[in-house]
Amino acid sequence: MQQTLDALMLRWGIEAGWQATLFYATGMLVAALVVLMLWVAPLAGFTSFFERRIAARMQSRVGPNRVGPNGVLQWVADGLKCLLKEDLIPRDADPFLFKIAPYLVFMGMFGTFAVLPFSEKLVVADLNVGVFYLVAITAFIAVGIIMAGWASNNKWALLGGMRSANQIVSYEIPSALALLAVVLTSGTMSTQGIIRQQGWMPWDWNLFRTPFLFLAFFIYFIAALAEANRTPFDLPEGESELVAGYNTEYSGMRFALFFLAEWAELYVISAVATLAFLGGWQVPSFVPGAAQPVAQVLCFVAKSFFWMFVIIWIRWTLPRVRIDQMMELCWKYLVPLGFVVLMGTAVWETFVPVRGPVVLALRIALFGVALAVVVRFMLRVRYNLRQAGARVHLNPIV
Amino acid sequence: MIADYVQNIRRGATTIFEGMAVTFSHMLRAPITTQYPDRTLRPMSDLLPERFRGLLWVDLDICIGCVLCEKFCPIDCIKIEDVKIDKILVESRLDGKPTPKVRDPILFDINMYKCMYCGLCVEPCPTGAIFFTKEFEGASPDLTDMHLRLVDDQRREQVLAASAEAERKAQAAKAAKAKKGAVEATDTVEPTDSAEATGDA
Repeated sequence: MQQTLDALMLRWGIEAGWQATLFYATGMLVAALVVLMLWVAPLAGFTSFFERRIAARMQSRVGPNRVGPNGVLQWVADGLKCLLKEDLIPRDADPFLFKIAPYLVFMGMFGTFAVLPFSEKLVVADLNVGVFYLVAITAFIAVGIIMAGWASNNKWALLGGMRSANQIVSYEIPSALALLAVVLTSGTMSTQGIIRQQGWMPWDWNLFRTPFLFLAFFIYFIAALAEANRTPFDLPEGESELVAGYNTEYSGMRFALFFLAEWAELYVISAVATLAFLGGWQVPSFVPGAAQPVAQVLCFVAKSFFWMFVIIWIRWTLPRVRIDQMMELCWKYLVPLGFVVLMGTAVWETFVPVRGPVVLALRIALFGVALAVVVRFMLRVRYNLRQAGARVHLNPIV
Repeated sequence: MIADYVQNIRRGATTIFEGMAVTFSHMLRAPITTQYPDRTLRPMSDLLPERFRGLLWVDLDICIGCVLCEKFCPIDCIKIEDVKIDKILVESRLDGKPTPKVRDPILFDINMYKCMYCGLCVEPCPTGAIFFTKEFEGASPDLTDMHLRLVDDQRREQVLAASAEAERKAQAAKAAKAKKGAVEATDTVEPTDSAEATGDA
């Protein structure tokens, strides 16, 4: 993006100074709008449909299938409905905070898209503090959620907001520790730099690079789930206890913004997992040069969508944890393990060579372990299907 | 202590693994819900249970006009007016036994918007003329649509005509009896008896 802007400035003869700053600002705003309209909003909307359909299938239902072919336009209808709803602000609410809270949540989510790459060239800004920026900007979500809870002047909302704050502050530590282990291994904080360090073969991924990073992936994933308020850590929303948590009092487009942020956050988690652990956009070198950019985008998006699917799948598998269990998991399990991972990675990086047959064998062995888990999983699924005497029905169009 | 800690992690991981295998296997199965109304594989009436309480309906041919349903209805949503007709035998829907019918409704209204589907009208009906159908799609833009008028004008005319006919015949019979009684002057009980029997049945 920066290179493109530089090239344009050169062509149009814009000199350094305030014109250049203005040009950069305008260019970035336009880019942000393009990303928002062409990628984030449709993605969040589509994810809502995707999640509802998967949830339905996991519960032996059909799911939304009325709007558009097989219901794929359901999210457009939902969005339009939210736009047309009355925009209510409770009488005793703090109107200013109440109004800006959804935008802060949205900003925290949308800000991350600045450093999420799609391919080798396609990234808004390849910051040299990318991972740090990612961790920092998502903190806006916590601020927005507390603000929403506080400004609503509603007990449920306040409880939800406080729980969310407590959760995000706690889980930011293990997730940052896990990402820090990746940074230690890669020697860079730039998201593109981290991806360039990896290869397209599964055992070239950070996930299988060292046993510690293998563990770090799970720590990151669990912590990210908690940070995004996803089940089993959806205590801030907790519909069975808190009505809807921090967004109880919200209606119309402000409510939609919260949900846009929540579903886009799914992609953010998945994309960070993909870039930090799963080789990002790395595609095999035998892909012809012209097809490379397309293949890279497809590869990155496919990996991200897989992890989005896993998050949705977890949501429809696990019940919500109790608040003390949630804290216990964080402080007694994830944080100590996070430190073990960080120290282990540091020691590993110091004493173990980066390349060599032994290291390669170890990586392939780790990959084998993961593969064995997947095979075992498939066997269990087959066992469950046979046990129920059910026939496999793969057709998503019912 | 450490053993417990490791055991907890192991148990957490394996149980989540098993749970996810279960939900994934469910994702591979066909949905068991039926998509009402346009993608049902069989007509809805086949899918509903035997004793489903849908809209009420009355088989007027076997209704004997006893107005038991009207009396039993706790919210008075049934309204019946009936007239006397010639005695005929109708077959009960319940057991197929012939039942005498001497009254026929000229007005049988059921206000289905008031009806609470309690079934108290269905139970006392001696011939099973009033019964629950498996129709349940009562939604309509007009409130009067669900005010069922089971006797239409044509039928009303027919019944009234039949009633007038029966009345005329009864009058004629009575007159004949009276004439006969006047002639013989011995058996005076019989005509009243027969008239009463007709009225009671």
